[in-house]
Amino acid sequence: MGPPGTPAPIAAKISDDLRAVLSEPAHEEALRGHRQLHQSDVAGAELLAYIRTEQALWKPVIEQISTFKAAPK
Amino acid sequence: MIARIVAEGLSHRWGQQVFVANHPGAAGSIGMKVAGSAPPDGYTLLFALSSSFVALPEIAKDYPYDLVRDFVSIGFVCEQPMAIAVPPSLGVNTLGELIDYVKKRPGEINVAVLSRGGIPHLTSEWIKLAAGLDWTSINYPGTPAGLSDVMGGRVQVIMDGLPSLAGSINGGTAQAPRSRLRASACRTGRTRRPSPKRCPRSRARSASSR
Repeated sequence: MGPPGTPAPIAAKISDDLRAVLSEPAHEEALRGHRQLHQSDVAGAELLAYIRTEQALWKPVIEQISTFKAAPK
Repeated sequence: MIARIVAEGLSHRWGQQVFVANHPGAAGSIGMKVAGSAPPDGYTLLFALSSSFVALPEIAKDYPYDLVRDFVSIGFVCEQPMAIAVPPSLGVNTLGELIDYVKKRPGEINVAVLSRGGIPHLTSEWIKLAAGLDWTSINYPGTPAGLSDVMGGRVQVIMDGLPSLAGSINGGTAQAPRSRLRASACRTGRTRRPSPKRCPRSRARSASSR
């Protein structure tokens, strides 16, 4: 993620380069060596949608964790 | 570790060194604050863990940054499976057996998880809710400390990302040099992932997959 205000052309350039790096066999192998699932084709709106899906998935669990309810805000 | 693999690749591609600055803790809020206040020039990026956007918005509602609202989307690197492991002395081999074991010992079982609000912590609470268990999540600053207490018998279960536990599951590492952990279950996901040889994949259980 880029800091707030990162210009779209800069974000796009880094996104393209990141995608290229992750598609290189050496880096795919390195990630698999750490038993990570490698997905390099998610960016932009699709990435934000992924994040929202994860938030929705975990929200009901977080709401029921008692220590979170007691935590000062 | 994963950030360093990515940084190495970007360094090679850009012809200049990309440094990884660790700012762990507080469900990712410390790192997010550092990156959030950096100039938006592409020279500082946030390598966000899921806790930054899953737990943080819920447990710190007045936190100044919201990852989705404030940061600029660049790319997705990877996701990792979550693993549950127990010492062989516990005598359980599957998630079902673990659930049965815990149900017979309400309030007696402690689960080592990483920092408060991290995905291992949430996974422990999720299984607790889904399976109706009475166990306690204990937050540790790192996997080695959790493993040490598991192998010492002070904690009965540990949950963490599979990469962190794979060495111990597969046969002992520096994290647990004299003992081997037995994988009780591995969380499933969208895609089949490479698994340790002693790590059976759980399925068709209410608390095993999403």
